[in-house]
Amino acid sequence: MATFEVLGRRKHSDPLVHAGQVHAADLDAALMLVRETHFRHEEGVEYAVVPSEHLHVLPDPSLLEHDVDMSYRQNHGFTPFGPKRERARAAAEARGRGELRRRPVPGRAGGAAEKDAR
Amino acid sequence: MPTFDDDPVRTEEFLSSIHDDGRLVEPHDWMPEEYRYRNLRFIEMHANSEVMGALPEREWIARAPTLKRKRSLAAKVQDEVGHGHLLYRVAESLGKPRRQMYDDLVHGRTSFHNVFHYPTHTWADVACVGFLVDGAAIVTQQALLETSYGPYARVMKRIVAEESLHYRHGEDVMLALAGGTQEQFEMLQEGVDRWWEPIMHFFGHDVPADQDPGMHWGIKPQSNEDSRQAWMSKYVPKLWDMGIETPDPALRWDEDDQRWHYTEPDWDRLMAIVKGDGTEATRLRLAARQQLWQHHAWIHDLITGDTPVAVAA
Repeated sequence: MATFEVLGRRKHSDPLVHAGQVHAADLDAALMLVRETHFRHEEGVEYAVVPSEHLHVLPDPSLLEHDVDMSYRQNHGFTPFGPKRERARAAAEARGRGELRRRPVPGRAGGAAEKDAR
Repeated sequence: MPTFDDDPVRTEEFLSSIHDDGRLVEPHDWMPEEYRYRNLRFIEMHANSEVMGALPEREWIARAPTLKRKRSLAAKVQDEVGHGHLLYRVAESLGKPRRQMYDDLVHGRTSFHNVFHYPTHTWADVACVGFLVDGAAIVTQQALLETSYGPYARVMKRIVAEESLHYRHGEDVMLALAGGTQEQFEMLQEGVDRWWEPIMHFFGHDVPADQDPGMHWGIKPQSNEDSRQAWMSKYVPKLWDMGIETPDPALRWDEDDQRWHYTEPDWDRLMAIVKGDGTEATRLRLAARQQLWQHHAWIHDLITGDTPVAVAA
């Protein structure tokens, strides 16, 4: 008996994701078994098995951590935008360009400024 | 464009299965040769554009105004090159080796998007590329989540998620300039003036959906004009909100017919860029890519054990 990792795709547009493990005598037996253990309730449209010994696991998970701030790789590194937009708007007003934001735009016939007033 | 000898009955069934049943095509499925050809060319151009799109921004990593901006820009360039890797892998599943695609790109035998042919004169160009050009890419890429080729649709999920981060990076740079000194503000306005027409070009001609081969073959889910309108609806109000004027005096939102009206860009200028020799920036960027490609070929051979592709002198 060997251990196999199970990968499945819920819909055709989804990636293959890990769904669990099975013990089986060989690849064919594992494929047959997975149908009954993991995919008997229409959990997916496709699945695959891989011998667990073929997985190469990152030996040291601390390699995923950062010693310095790398939040610019994620959305929260930039949010919130409200105060930044407000500052740019105030600067536009001060430069006499405030009229631009009162032009009609989609969903707001009277322009952005009208929405802000509501 | 080569000629194809696809069985018309099978091709009709194929088109019906992707358009009417929403079926996704997988690499091992039967597909008309014309679909394979057009899809490969489309995805290859997308991959080329990611790789070439990293260059105008890479040119500014060393010149970015602060350490924070340098790191953020370097991270974005890394993401764009990563998109190139993901997309070449998808294109490869349609039958053209990745190494051949890259060799064709650096030697100018295949194309990439018009917006990556232009020089970046100031830091404001980086803002425009990061916010407006990436914004245009997001609009078309979001539509591609519905493309008919399974591996492409799946890889686009990851790419679109990363692009939304780039959008924030770009807006952050834009807002800093818009809310900054008069000099910064003017620099930004000049940048938007330069990028307006290339972005109008980016979406292509207003081709009716039923005459667009990309839509006929289920590769491109959204028409050029719908993409351009969607981009304007999202980005023009943001520019106006920052006090940035759009350079087209005819540009206006028409509430009655729910459309943007604008001046048709000069399409001859687009053709001169993408079908001609590009710009001086294109030549410099391709030359830099060729040089790296040739210098690093031995590493590639060593790692992969591949037979080298003949490189033109």
